Amino acid sequence: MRPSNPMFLDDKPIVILGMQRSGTSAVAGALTRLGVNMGPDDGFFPEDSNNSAGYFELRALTTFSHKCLTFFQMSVASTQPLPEAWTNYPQARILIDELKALLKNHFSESPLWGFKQPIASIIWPIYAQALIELDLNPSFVICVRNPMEVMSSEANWVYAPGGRQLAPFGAKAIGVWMNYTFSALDAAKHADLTVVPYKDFISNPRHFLERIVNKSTAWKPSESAWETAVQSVNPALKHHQNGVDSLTNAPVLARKLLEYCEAKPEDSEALDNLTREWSVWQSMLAPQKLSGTRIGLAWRARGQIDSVQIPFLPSGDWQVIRFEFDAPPSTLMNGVLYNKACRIWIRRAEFLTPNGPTIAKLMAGPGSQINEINGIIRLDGAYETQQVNLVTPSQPGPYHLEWEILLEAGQQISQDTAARLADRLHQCAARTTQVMRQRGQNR
Amino acid sequence: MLSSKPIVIIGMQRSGTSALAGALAHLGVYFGPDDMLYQADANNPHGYFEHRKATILNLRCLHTFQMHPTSFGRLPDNWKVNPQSDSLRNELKDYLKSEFAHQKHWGIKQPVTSLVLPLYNDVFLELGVEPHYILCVRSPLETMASEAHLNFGDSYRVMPSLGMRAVGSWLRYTLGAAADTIGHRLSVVSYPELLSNPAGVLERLVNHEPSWQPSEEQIHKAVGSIKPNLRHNQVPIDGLDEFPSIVKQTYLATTQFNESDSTSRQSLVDLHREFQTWTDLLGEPSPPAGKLGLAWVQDGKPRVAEVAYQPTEDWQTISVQIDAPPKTPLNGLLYGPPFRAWIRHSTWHVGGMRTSATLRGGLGSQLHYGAGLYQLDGVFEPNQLNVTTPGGNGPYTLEIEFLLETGPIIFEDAAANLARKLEDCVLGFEHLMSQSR
Repeated sequence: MRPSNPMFLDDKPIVILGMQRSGTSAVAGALTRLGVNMGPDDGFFPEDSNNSAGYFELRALTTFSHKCLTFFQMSVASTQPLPEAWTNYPQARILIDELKALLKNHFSESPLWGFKQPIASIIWPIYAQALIELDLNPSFVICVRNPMEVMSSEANWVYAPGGRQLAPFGAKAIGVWMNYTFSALDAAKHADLTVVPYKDFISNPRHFLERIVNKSTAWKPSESAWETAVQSVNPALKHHQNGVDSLTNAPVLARKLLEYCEAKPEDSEALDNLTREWSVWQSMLAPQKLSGTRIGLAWRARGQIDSVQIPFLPSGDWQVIRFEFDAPPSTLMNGVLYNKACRIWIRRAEFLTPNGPTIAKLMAGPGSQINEINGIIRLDGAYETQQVNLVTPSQPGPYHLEWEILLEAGQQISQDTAARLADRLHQCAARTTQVMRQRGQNR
Repeated sequence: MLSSKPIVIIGMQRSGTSALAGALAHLGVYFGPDDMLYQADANNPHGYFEHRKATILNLRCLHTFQMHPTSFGRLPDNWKVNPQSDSLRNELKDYLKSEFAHQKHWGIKQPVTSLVLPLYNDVFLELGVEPHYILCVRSPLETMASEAHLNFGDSYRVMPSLGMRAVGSWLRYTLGAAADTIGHRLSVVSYPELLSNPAGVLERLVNHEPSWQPSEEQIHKAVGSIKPNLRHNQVPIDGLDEFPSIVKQTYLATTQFNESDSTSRQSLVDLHREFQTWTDLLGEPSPPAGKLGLAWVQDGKPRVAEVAYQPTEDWQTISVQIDAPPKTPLNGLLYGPPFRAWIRHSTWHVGGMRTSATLRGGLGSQLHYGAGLYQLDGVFEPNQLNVTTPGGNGPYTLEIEFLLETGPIIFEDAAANLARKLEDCVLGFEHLMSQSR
């Protein structure tokens, strides 16, 4: 049946989610043998000792997922969701458009397609928005495995250069597993869903593959395709088989989640109760929010330094801040918007004058940098006295200066800032040394 | 000479710690001179009874171990291997001796103490002091509401309201305090009980110490200092049913705590174990793997020697083989993300001989030497660490014994330090250029 989607031949892609080492590659491999296009062979991660049968994971999609994680200061081992206001972040639109282009480029002409992307489990809202805008209605396959087995499998991971990299989770694996599994189940709410418990899939792959295939009346794999698909699931994968009793030392919620996935994945009320408890734990143990500070601008007037300061508490979303001050016209002002390494998106910075708004042209200090992305200014700010600089209008004041900003800070931003500053420090030192040498030569 | 049985009030902020401390002050417990105690304000109109030195010390201890007042983590079990631990211990000893010597009844009230009890226990042991810990407990929903309504007056709110995180923090303060006071006397004072029956609560606490005989007048003032109208933000206990069962179980286990029943204490220890499992699962991952890499130029070509390692958060030794000519400068990296490394020894092994390897830091990194240790505050730069091969023919083995720390506070400090260095460099360059004009 041809879909009405003008962009895609097949508007019901199969999306395989779940934590790494949970059978996602085995399921993806079997589905490709049943005719699902997961991407070109040369676009996958190559098979290796960790996955001798191959990953069937599109490199471009994994790279994209990692970009999403970096943009929102998350990692593959995150146990918290995307920021609440993520759709308001400028990077959100950049990422959604990039994913749409990627999917169109790879799959628009495929009569039957899908993708396997474990990381997408924890950033699904980004994928969801892209799929909505592409008018796609995915069916979901969620792979679930006992987290003790996932932890054991992951601990044996061999890190080869250039190969697929997976950060070690260690003892956190159970927490990460809960986040991947709850997030994936939430992604599939109200959609076609097949939960594939690992131990059952290895024992009887055809049972689960049939459930997936039967969701489409038009999909009729040949018997030889079935045979190839079933044989692709290696029964030797049935190592590390642990029952739910192996979770004795894990939180009760983890055991209940595994039991749910292995037994009753259609009981939405049971899932809602478990998800509610998980959400409360995430909220109770959420990272510390950003601290408040005083935003200040300073300038030199009549031989002395004047300044204006206002209190500011970052909200994690767009905020308007207003300064009122009396400085001379055409005067250079410098200031600090935040007292830590930060990323500040600036949608608007204007002097409000009787003649109408005048754009405040912003300049960055030596440790900070300003770029414009899709019409929004991005200030990567270091904690320095001239984090941001601007000039008062040529008309006399007093002035009302209004900014609309979204402020981000955190460990990743601090690390990136430190790396940038170290690089600039070396450049400055090199320039200084060069000038001093030249002067020494000129004498 | 320190009296051996101080009172140490612990528990989360907004749980009645100040009210209890104020009452105990009327009964003769000395918390410090008035000019060292935080003054009363709109949030605590009857005062805090909180010594500034205790606050500064506790915050410094948290900072040292990459924590903050709402952290869920604990001091590592091996906290004493950190070279900064001696300074913290000495500071605490000095504070106790200077403020409380010759006081018959003395006490400490500083809620953050709940998070750094291993430090206090260690110093108390050394000083021959046996603390009586008093844990103040209030419904986490009430502390959450109280915290959200804090009045900052003309100042500004530095920390945003905790919201649901307040409940997680409450579990940390309450259960952590119960677990870290094992082996010491622990009393629990619930906020409702303190307000409804202050006389009973105070009598129970006083009776622990036979030599403590407050006068009738003192008792009258102490009881009178507890104002029933202190209880704002009342929330029914049923509200705890919206949270995981551990929350209500903890509240009930603390408010029904029986000091003379060991199973009462064990319940709290078991709940703490459950909570710690959750904080481990949802906490920060272990630091990523590192690599010591050193580079040099030999015969016009770049050469590298490297060895991978996993930071253990304890002292560890790594060795790297270097096949470079004698007296060759090497530069490289010990670790990628910003870090602090304490280096106990750095040694060249060559031909069965050992010789000390002198280290130098890079431009952005900071290397200090003192008390037999290097402290390297390192950032990601090509010459984070510099060393020169010894005389005599190689090959050489460089061995370094170090303790590596990393985390969010170190990242922030590294970025701030680099910003200052860059500002200085830019100013220096501009000055240099202006001299030529």
